[in-house]
Amino acid sequence: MEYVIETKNLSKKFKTKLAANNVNMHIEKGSIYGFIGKNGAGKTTVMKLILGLLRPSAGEVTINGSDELNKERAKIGSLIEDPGIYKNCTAFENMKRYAILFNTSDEEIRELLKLVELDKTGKKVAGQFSLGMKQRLGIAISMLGHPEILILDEPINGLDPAGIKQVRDTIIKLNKEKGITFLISSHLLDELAKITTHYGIIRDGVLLEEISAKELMDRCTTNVKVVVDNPTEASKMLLRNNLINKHEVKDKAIYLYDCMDHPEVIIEALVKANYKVYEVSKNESAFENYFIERIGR
Amino acid sequence: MGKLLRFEFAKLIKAKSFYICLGVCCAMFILFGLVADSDTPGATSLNFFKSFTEFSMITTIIAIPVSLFVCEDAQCGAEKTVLGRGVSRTKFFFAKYISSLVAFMTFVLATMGICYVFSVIKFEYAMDDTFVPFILLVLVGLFMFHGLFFSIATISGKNGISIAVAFLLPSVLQLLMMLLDYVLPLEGFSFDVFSFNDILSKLVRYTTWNKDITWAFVLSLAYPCTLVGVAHEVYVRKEN
Repeated sequence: MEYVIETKNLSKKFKTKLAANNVNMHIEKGSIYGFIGKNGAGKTTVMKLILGLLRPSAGEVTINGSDELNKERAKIGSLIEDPGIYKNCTAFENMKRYAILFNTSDEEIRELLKLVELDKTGKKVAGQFSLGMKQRLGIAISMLGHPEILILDEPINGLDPAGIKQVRDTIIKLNKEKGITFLISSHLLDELAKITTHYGIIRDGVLLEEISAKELMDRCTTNVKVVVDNPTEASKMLLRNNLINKHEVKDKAIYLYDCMDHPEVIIEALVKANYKVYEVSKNESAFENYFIERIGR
Repeated sequence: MGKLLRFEFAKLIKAKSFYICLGVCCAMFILFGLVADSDTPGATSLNFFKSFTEFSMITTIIAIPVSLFVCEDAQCGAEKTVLGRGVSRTKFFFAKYISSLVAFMTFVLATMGICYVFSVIKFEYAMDDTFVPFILLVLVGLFMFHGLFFSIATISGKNGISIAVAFLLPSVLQLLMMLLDYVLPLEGFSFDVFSFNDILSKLVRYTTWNKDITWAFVLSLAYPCTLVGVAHEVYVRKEN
């Protein structure tokens, strides 16, 4: 497996507090790694250790398999705590200032601003931007110099629903279109769940678990609910075709307790048999509990 | 390093505080000149220019833009953005030091230039061979103050603290030295020679080169080298 970021027994001690305790993190190329933990769990500390903003008390970090960290860090864009914005400058001027460090052309700056939907802010200075706009400008700044990895610390914290959606869409777009690997920390589970491919769960400085989104889904999905026009007859048809096994019919719906990995096969069979399918949904009520059990209330 | 310097200079050009403080300095000088009596015997352009330079509080005023400029990156998060890209802390530190020094000296020369033009217009023109050494010694003295302000701002990383300390420290240090002189009176030696204010006042009162000027000159170079060295060590050990 190719890891773009890997930590081995990474630890950081502040006076008496162990903020990161033997963290062994593995981030795959092209993934969106959601780093989950309560406030003060050690998420920012680990991110800062990766970026070299803090010195580790023990352990090591490798980036792209190399331990020439400063060279490799040039390929990482980051947004840690504050977006690094000069308030008296416009979005373009902010980008232009940082662009000096990365030999970025004005054309590329305009493209990045378009990507984060800040290309039409004109002469409005960044100090007058909404929190969401500032975050997106921070992401655009972190995108300068064509980074391969983006490390974003709580990028959706304090944003309104529209702002959250804009940041989320930007992340998905960058991951899909530019193949950028993301390490994103948040304590907003629902939001993170919409974009992440992998999770790392941290509590009191200890990385408790690393799990892919698919594995997590498998563990958390308790049933699939299929709402059809004649559930009793439909379930008999599915049984006859060996498409389902453990199930029940109630409230005009079929609840499937196995064969949950491939609901599309079941939908296809129902549609072919001329049943009207109104709704297919996974019951993931266990998802939140899964994290809460681990990160603590 | 070149890119970092350009990054810092780009920031300086947009720093409003520099222009505001430059305006304040020049306005102070013009007001001072307008109320001064040009008919007083010995009120020449040179004397007026020298006396204003000595009492203009230019060092106090320049503490504001230097502190704001140095602390800006740390306070807005730009420092983390840049250092997170693997940029060396030493390079970043010296890029900031060089750019703030250039800006500081530009500020001082611009203020002095405007003041000089005004003094020539208002007062009887006079020039002697102390003028050029006087300007150079003033620059050396202010180089020392820049080192002090830059070091305080780099170590604290906070605007408010930096400006307050920069305002108070030279006076507090002078008081301490005077207290030492009082408690430990030594014949032929005064602790006050180590205070920043005393060094600058000796340099700006230059008429002929003497032992006091040599001592002030050496200290005004030794202080910033030591202070900037200490600030660098603190900065590279600092964690964000």
